[in-house]
Amino acid sequence: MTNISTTDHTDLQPAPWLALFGEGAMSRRLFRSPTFAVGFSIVALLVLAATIGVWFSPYQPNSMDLTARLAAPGPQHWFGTDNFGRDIFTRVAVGSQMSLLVGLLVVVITGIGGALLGALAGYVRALDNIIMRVMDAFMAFPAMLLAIAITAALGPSLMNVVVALAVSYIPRTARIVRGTALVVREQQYVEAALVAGAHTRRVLLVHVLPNCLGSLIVQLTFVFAYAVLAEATLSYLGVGLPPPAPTWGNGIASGREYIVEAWWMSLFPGLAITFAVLGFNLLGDGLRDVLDPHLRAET
Amino acid sequence: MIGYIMRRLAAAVPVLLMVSLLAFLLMQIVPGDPAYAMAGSDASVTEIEAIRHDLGLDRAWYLRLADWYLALLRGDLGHSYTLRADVADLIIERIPVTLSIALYSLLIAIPCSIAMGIVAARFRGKLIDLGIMTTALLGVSLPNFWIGIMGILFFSVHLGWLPSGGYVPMGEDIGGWIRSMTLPALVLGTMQIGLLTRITRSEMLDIMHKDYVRTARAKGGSELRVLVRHALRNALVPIVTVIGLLFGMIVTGAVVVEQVFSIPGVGRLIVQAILTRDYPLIQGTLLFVAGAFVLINLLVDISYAYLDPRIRQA
Repeated sequence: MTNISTTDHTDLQPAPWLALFGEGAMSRRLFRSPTFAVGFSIVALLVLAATIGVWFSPYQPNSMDLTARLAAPGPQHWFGTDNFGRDIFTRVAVGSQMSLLVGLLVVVITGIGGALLGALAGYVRALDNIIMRVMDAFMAFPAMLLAIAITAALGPSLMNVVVALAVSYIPRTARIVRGTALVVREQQYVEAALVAGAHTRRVLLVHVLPNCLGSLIVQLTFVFAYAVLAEATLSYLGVGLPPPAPTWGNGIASGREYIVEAWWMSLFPGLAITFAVLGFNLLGDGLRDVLDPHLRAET
Repeated sequence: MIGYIMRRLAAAVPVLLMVSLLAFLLMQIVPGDPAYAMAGSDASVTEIEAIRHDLGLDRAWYLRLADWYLALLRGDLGHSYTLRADVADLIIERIPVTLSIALYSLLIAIPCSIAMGIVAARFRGKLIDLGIMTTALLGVSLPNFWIGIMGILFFSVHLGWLPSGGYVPMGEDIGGWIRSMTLPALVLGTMQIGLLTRITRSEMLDIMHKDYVRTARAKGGSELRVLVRHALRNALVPIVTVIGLLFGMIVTGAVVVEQVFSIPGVGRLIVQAILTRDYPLIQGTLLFVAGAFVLINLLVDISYAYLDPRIRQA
């Protein structure tokens, strides 16, 4: 009877990441879905634009050229220039770095927070009521509005925007993970692990959480899309990253004042946002069809 | 049914308590002191002290919390500094404006998306389905402040058909109201159309395989009659619940759209409160929105239980 709990029972259920990235058909099934393939290509293009897009530009995102103020798109400036003569193509390319960075940080924090809280609420019955009532209170504020309020209280900065968005999305993510955890806890392999003497923490981390991964990944893909859209909205409203930062939202906000003289100032950053959000939404739809057919778009 | 309503009401009370606590706490997480932020950089020490005294910041936190709840019980949301008025009055004044755009946008979005959803489901996998679903996906992916600006560029600057902003009260001039509200309502409606179309389509697809739809077809009902009388009627129940979800979307949409089009509604009030760091106003407007959100979801739950008796037991 020495330590049975830590030996055999882990193999009772294959971990989902093996099914996803191993030799199994998961990745092939994913790419057979046109939705996923298009979404994946868009996101890949976006990552490419963020990493090497700036190499194509001889300009710096914040260098001003007052002789070329509000220049129309042309061979010199592909997307034109803004009211300070800054190159818009460069600013949109650097903006994609900002958006992806914010999206990634929000997804990581939301993923960890949502997964832990959701799995705890779903698996440890005593905590369910407490955790979910607090989550309900957060969810009583529309996500975007809560984010606006938090950045307004904390002050505008990259980290505060990330925190505000993560706090807004954690409750929604936790609710989805909890739903899956409620199903998983009734499975035989969980019972088997418990019979084998596994500790609650072990069951939670080794058995319950990995099996909630499918719905979590789907949800986080959509969170990425919301985060990109919300970051731009916060910037536009003046509570996001403060102005010299070349975010897409800031570009549109300054373009609003020059809409008559320079439509390109707001057109291109907006196209970039649409492209990015569309990509992540398609990716999420594709992933959902394969990983989690029961989940529907609720938000 | 009455038992169900009572249980739902009872469940809403702790949520409302938590929500009001959150709204209170929000003011406490302001780095430094809200009085400094509100007074501005060139304020003297006595001015800051005066603000701090007015806000009650010189008192212990539990006394402030008690004050907050006592005031809430009286329906008192506090006093706005920048606008020198009662927060509750400021909100009430602006409700009709926001409510009218919201209803206008729903009036556009609901028929459009139900029609689009039915057509997409009926012609599943065809080109028209792809077209509609792409449009719907664009609806949830487009930043609404951006389409607002592009709409102004096209319809106001370029074509000169519609004003680029401002608000004409409905009571003064109904034509002017329609002209000034059409573009904002369309912009507010795009995201709702995206969401509702997707939901209508998937509900219709579920239901079109049901036996009673096949029976209706077998009886020789016309395609339109089968779709609308038999399929749609059953699909409507889940669609109704989504209206509750739409509220959150409409409120955040209104914040943005009212800002883009300079419309003096509740959304603009929130942005104004935030940009001028008017903390009592921020707190009050947020609490108002969250409270309304809780109430609307409660109504949706109740109407859902009314439509589907199985839910009452759960």
